[in-house]
Amino acid sequence: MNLSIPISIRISGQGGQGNILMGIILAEALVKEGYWVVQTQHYGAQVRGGLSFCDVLFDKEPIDFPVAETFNIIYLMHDVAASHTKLLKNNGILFYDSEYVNLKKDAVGRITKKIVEVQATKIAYEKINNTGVSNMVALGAMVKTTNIISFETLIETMKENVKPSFYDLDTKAIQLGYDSVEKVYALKLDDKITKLVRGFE
Amino acid sequence: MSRMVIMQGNEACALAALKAGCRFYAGYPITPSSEVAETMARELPKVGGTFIQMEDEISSAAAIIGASLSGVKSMTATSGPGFSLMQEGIGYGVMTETPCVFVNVMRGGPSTGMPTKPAQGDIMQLRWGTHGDHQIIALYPSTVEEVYKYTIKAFNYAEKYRTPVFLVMDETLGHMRESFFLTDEEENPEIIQRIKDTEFSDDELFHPFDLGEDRTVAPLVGMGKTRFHVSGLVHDETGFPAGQAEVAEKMIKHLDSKIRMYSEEISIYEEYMLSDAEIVVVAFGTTARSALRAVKMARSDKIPVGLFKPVTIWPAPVSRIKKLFRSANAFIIPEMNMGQYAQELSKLNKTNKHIEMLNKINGELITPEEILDSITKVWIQLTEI
Repeated sequence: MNLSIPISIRISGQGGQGNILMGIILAEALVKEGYWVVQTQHYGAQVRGGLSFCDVLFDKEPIDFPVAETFNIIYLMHDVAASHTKLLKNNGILFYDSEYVNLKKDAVGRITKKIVEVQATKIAYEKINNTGVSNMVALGAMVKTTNIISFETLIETMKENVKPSFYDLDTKAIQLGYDSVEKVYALKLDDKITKLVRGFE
Repeated sequence: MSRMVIMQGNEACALAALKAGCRFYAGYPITPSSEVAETMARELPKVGGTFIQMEDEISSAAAIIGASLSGVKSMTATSGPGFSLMQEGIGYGVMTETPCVFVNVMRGGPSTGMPTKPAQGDIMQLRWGTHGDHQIIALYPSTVEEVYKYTIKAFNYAEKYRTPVFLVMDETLGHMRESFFLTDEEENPEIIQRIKDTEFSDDELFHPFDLGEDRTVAPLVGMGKTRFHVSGLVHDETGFPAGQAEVAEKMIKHLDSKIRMYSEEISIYEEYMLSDAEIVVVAFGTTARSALRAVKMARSDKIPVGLFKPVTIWPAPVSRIKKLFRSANAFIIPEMNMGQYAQELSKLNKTNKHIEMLNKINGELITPEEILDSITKVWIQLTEI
């Protein structure tokens, strides 16, 4: 039996930073691109503050169990979620917002070398004068680096989830995030039947 | 034309209700069911329906029964604490044979419990929460597509059997967004409608509590030309209270038999790899998803295990389960409670087969690995001599 394991993304931070909206937009965009998607969210009783995170799982087949214990991609928006770094899969991609996260680079470096600093809040503040859209900057950066959806799909999906008065602001934010990172780490999405492997990757 | 959609569990429930013809919602918000109310509040006015936020859950239950009796399909949604408040109203709905749908998105209990965490602790309350002898229908889907499909089914069952019906979810299912193919059938489902009073002649008397020659349930008529009496007191076929022993016997037995006699037709369940299974995992709701994964993992290790997933947890699919108790050798029943359904199923275990309970009540989902551990443990027990 070929059991497929979905790709898993966790976006975690403080309540009020907008990580759940990021997850919703990602989830809907992934459906448009043809994947089976499950998105779950977790939060406490506070409207602002406290830990809040959103998981998005996607796969080429229907997903049985909607929860992942380890993640291919983690985006850390705030130090309150710092403990989630240990949930990253080996060689997974870790994004973090340097404004709010004091990352222990050596500790994380043992799990993966793919660590991407996203200055989402700083960019949002300096270039748009609105820290509220830092989650959109973050989304742009994530999508550029992981290449899981196209830029056009992302913008289109964002427009379906926010009020028209925010279209320009959010498009600008996503574009800034997209342009702020260079490196692309491609994700392995298909189960590869092995070519002759030399023991380890 | 079928298309791929993504919906939240709660949202799917509300949209399916509208599809089934629900045009009245009265409720009081409670995590994790608030999104049902929010979606209904947004969509009902667009289709000419009415949304009222009531002062509490007690009045919400009463309001949807009143609305249903006046001719509109109605629904409310709540969670544990609110469901406890609705019990008196539910009893009234059962007694007056009023079709309506109650959604219970289960959360950690008892009392205020853990509002944002999943649990399956209301299973017995769904069956016996309200006082007195009664049968009830409770549907518990495990994917968002099933929430959509079975909410429509819940409304149909409510109309067909003239009873309140429960659509059950857990917090995880209610809050998660999942993609699925919305098929043609789901876009244009079969809906059971109320009979219109225009179908009656002017001097025809209508007794909604009359059984008719074929002893099926009389359909409810929309308000208009006819009128009939509704009472929570034991009543005869006219609806007027009548306390004589023969009347009471007939009435209470009717409430019981109208569902019990049709429990085979009402039962909905799904089976996965049961034909040669020596171990059967019985699971429902989000736990059934973990169980499915665990069964797949165990099968790849050649363990003969299968999954039985009851969708209608009440009435329990008794005859199918009895057959499974005869054919299989062991049962594993994972639940996010202290063994409520397992206790009920064990009564059907006439041949003393091994039942392994897997109980988790800390607000976290039962994982596929935990169920796989149970399966492996039971398999080792079965195969050692």
